[in-house]
Amino acid sequence: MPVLVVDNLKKTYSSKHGGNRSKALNGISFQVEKGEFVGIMGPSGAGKSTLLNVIATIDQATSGDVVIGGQDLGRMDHEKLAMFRREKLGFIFQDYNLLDTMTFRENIELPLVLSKVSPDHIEKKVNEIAKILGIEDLLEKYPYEVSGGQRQRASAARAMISNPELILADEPTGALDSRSSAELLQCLTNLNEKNQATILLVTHDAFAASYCRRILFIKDGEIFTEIDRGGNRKEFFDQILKVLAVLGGDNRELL
Amino acid sequence: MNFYSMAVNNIKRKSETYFTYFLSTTFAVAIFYIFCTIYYNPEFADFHTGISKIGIVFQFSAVIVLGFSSIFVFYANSLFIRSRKKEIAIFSLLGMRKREIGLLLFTETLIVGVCSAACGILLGSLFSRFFSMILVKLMLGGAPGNHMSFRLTWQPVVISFGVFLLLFVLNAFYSMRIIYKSKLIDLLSAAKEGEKAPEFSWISSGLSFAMILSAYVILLNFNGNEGAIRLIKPVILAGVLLVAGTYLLFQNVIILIFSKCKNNNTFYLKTGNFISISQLIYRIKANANMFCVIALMSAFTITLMSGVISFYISLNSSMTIYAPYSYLCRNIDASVKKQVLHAVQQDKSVQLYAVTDIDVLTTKASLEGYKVDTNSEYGKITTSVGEKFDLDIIRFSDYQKVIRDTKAKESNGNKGAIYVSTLKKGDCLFLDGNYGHDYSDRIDGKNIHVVTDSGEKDFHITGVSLFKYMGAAHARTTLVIPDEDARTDFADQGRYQVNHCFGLKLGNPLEAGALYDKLNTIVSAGNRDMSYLEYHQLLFNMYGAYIFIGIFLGILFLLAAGSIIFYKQLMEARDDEGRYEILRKIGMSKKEVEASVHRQIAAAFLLPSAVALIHSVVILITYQHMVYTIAVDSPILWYVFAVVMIYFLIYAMFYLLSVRGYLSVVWKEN
Repeated sequence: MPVLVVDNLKKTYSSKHGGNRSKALNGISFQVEKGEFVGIMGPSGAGKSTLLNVIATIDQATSGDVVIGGQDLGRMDHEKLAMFRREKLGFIFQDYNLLDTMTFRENIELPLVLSKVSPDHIEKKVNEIAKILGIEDLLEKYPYEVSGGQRQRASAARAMISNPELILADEPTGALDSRSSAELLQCLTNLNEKNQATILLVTHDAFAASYCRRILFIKDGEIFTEIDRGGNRKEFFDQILKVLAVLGGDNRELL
Repeated sequence: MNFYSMAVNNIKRKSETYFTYFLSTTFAVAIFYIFCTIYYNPEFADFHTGISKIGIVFQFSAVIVLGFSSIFVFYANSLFIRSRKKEIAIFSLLGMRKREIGLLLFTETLIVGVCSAACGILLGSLFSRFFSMILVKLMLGGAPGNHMSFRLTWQPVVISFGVFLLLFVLNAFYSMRIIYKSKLIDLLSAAKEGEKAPEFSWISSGLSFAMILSAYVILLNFNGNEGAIRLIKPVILAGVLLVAGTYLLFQNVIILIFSKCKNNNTFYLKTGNFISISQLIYRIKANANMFCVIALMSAFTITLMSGVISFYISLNSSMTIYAPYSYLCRNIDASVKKQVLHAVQQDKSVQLYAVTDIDVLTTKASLEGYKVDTNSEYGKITTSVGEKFDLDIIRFSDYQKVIRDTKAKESNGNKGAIYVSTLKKGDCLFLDGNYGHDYSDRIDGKNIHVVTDSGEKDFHITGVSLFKYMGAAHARTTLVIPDEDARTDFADQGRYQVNHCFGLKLGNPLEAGALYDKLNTIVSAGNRDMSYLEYHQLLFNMYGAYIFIGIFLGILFLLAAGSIIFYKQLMEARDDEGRYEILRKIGMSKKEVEASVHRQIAAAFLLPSAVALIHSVVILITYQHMVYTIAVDSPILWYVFAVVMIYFLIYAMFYLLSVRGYLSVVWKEN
């Protein structure tokens, strides 16, 4: 059974005065299987963030269905959505969204604390995940004391800790330099390969996208094309650049 | 880690943000508690402030403290919530249920609330004895009084704690409601959407000036002779104009001024100005409402504090208007007089300074452009301009004895005694019985037509004053005429009503309580005035309580105003974080950022206080006009100056706190 099923998803924004309806999503459908590492690319305004927000239960679609782990998001109320996010989803944002008032350890612990997991288990789990992401020495630090790359790894650790069905990453390398980006992406790849984590990565960056196994290209709220990674990462990277060139016109920023 | 420890952690880590909130609420609780202890202290039950018992006054003040604290706590709380929308969004994303988030914030609000209530009560208990003593001192005003026994009772503790706990619980519920109502996507983007900016217009700018100026004109033209009830309408009108005008001022004029600065390139394009002005315009638009509230609140505070302080300080000198003599009798016969003097001589504890024994003659007179408008022991008397009125006549030698015996003071205005060594035949001094100088201003040098033995006779007025030589209660317009004129023109005493005044002036009028009691048994009630001590108690009991309340409310308002600005700055710092990050990246040095932040925050503090200052000076000038009964010129503006200095000192403290808080947010050392 696929982890994520998106079926004919539409989202229309109406401006505040009622007129000028603009379509952000125009009937998108795709599936993500367990253990996949899928990238979503497209020019600015293509609908990437809207799509991610809808999948993340942050925003509601106008029509269409999103089914995650067999559960239809459209049929859940606030209470259930909260429980659902707690158990099934993990988030990584461009601006980290770590809590300034908590140490790395506390930030990473938070999802498990909310799920009322036993303290022994929490500690074991935190140490384990911190090791995979290479931040075991930083656990007692506060977010403002460390670099952006380290913060983003803590945020990845928080997303991973509760073994969610699906990890949603929104431009996670957007604020990082190339070395930190490469390190973070390698971590995500490790999580994907070793822990069978299912990851959905939205990005502008062809380099970041080249770590994925499959990429969906979106243009004007619709799926433009999709490509699979056959050989090594270098070849995949070139392939991505070619598609972006075809996507055309306003996507020079992608390079 | 559980909810409770998360809440405690949050408070600990945000201690700097919570500090001023904690300080202000603690202070509010402490004041409320102290007012309650005074209300519940049986010792105070006998004190009266004017017409009402002191307990009522303090009960009323406690309600004001509570009302004000509710507004402050509510405002601070909603600022807190707004600054934490992002945090709430993260909690929500991680799958925290709204109920749980609500519970977390509820716990936080409650912990801070309970702590500040407890601290406030503790602080209040520690100092309530001290403050009760100060209150008694203020209310006695130097007169000897009994020492208070003091004990802590349980009611104030229970009431303060209960009332404030209720306040915090209500606020905690309010926080929960916000969370329940909000959508996740709005929370996530909350920080990005700016506050709605008002557009300025020339019409509103003009209107705001017109409103404020007309409020000033109304205030400055208050007629002191009119009764309090007739002043209610203009006071309300001026108040509304002032509030509305100030509101429009901040909505329009200030923005306009800064926009003009922006257009002036030579000024605008200097590094420091560039950053702070563009920030300020952005800020002032968003802060116009807050600035308006702070300005009005500060104006109120400065006025209140300067008013009560100057009034209290001038009370001692104004005692002579009410009771120039320590003990004043009227129309007593020789045997009573003898008994009185005998009683005084027997009492070894008092020093008799002088005894005045004079006759005051009452006749009729008319004077062009003058009218009487008084309310004294003769009842309310109003004549029309130029009409005949009752006039008291005293001889120049008697007048000189009175001012010598009562040690009457001269004044710069025309309120004090007139000291002249001689009075020419046909000349006279005019002691106006009115309270205001509206009529007496126009009559110096004129002739007054007085009914004498031989018909009407003109006297030439060579001196005019509002001096109340026998005390304000017996004030009637009086003419001082040369002795020889009195002998020739008022020889037929049978034609006039004659009042015989017999005044005792003691060297230590406050310590002669026993003597007054004894004299009261000798002189019948109709023939004596209240003693100096009674007047003193009347004034000081009332104003002593008022100054006490005024100072406390003033400090509370000040603290609250300061901390509101502080919060606002701290919140803005969070919004500005990105902006300063950019400025830093494009090469602004730490020094330049600091200078810019200093300037920006200084404007946030100075703009409202400058407006407040101008408002309060105008109101206080009016006030000075109104306090006509004070014979000695009270240097109100000096007290205003002192109050303003203290005000700015406390403000400066909040300013520095704000700058520090702001910089720690926008300039993080990595």
